[in-house]
Amino acid sequence: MSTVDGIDIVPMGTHSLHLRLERYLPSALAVALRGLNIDGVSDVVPAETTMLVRCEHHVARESVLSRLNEAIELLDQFTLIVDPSPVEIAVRYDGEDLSAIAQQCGISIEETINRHVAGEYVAEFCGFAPGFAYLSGLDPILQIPRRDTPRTRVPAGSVSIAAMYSAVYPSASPGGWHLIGSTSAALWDAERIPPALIEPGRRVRFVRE
Amino acid sequence: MTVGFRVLGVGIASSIQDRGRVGFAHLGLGRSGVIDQSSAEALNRCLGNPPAAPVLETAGGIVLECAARCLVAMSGWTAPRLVLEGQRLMVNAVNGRQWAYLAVAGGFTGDQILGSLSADTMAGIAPVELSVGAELRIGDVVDGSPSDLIAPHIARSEILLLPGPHLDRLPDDALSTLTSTEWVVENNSRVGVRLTGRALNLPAQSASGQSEPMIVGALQIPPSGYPIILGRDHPVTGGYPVAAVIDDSGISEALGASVGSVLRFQLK
Repeated sequence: MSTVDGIDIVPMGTHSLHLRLERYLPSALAVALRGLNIDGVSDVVPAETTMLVRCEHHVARESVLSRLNEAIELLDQFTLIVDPSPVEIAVRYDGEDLSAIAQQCGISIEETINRHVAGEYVAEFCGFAPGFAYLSGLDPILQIPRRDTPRTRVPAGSVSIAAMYSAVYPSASPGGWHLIGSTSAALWDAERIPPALIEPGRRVRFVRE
Repeated sequence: MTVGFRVLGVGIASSIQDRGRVGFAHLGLGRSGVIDQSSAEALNRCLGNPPAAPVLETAGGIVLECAARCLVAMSGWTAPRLVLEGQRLMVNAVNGRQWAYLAVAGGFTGDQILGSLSADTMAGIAPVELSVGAELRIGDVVDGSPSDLIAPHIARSEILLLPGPHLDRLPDDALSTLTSTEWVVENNSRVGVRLTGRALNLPAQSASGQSEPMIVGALQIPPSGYPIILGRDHPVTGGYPVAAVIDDSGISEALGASVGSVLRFQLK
């Protein structure tokens, strides 16, 4: 079904499309494709290396296939379609796992904090909960697997790390990530447009409070 | 906008549902919405409502007291009825369906969250809290044309499937196993429907560990090998391979099937 170089396209459901991206960043292509405002395309959902284009009818699906190249051309002007300034999130480095993280990484607590603050993060995709953004750009030294035993309750605003990502829990939920700090920032606010503080494609910086 | 009902007993998994929230999946918020759209539509139509008007959804047992005279339609009824102030209604699942609906002329109403009244059990969003004593508001009756009869639910003998995006991570006979097995509904929630029947033999590397975008009606194959059909409140991303996706024509039928009932699939 593929019509575009570097993208493997297969149908997903009656009208929607599943794209495997070999060459393009899903978060960026999703923003570009959404920017085309194609009639009948209801959701463009990036993930790690794939994305879903949810189409409400056959005509929408055909339009996506024929206009995908336009979206790819837009990627060159990415700074025009995504706000290039980073979202700044003030963090208190008081996480319950902070000393355990430092120990597991074999560095001091201070170095753990410095390495986390120094990261230049990009929101790759959202999932798990509304407003929960997977942020790439975590220092390789800090990349440790999830906790063996997930917590039954992680408080809202917990700044966390796991594998290659950092993230902030928008609301209280169970969770298996290591808690490095906390923030008062509202990651999700249904009264706000957009409701998520961090959208896929957006740059993020953590600032020590 | 008036109070139409008071909740006397909440029942199981009861909520107000419309067509859900469109356009927030990339932010981690799924669509949610009425599970069994064809059943809800039939009730709305007979009341002269728009087919997507908000309805009350329950897995059974909710008890309401009517607070204002209104025309209602309920799963299992053959015709709409007029209910009067003080009358009580109990909504129960019937006819091999997991989810039952109550629709009211004018539709249920309330303060929307992100354009919808739907309770999303995955996201923890519920614009209308259904607790004992809660008041359910109803909208003004518009000039629809009510009918005398409710279109009955007609069960489909086979549900149509489309091949999924991850067949390369699944055994060669994944689709033939799906279409040649009588699947029994083991569990049915707003998040998904778990099936038992014949386990697919998964290769060790089937779960990539990567998050992939998901869609309602997707048949995910977890390590147990027994499919899970993703429901209206499914997580927007997931890590298990998707063997097939149910065609739009069969999503209400599959998601609405009651625990213990049998589903058969056929390739479209």
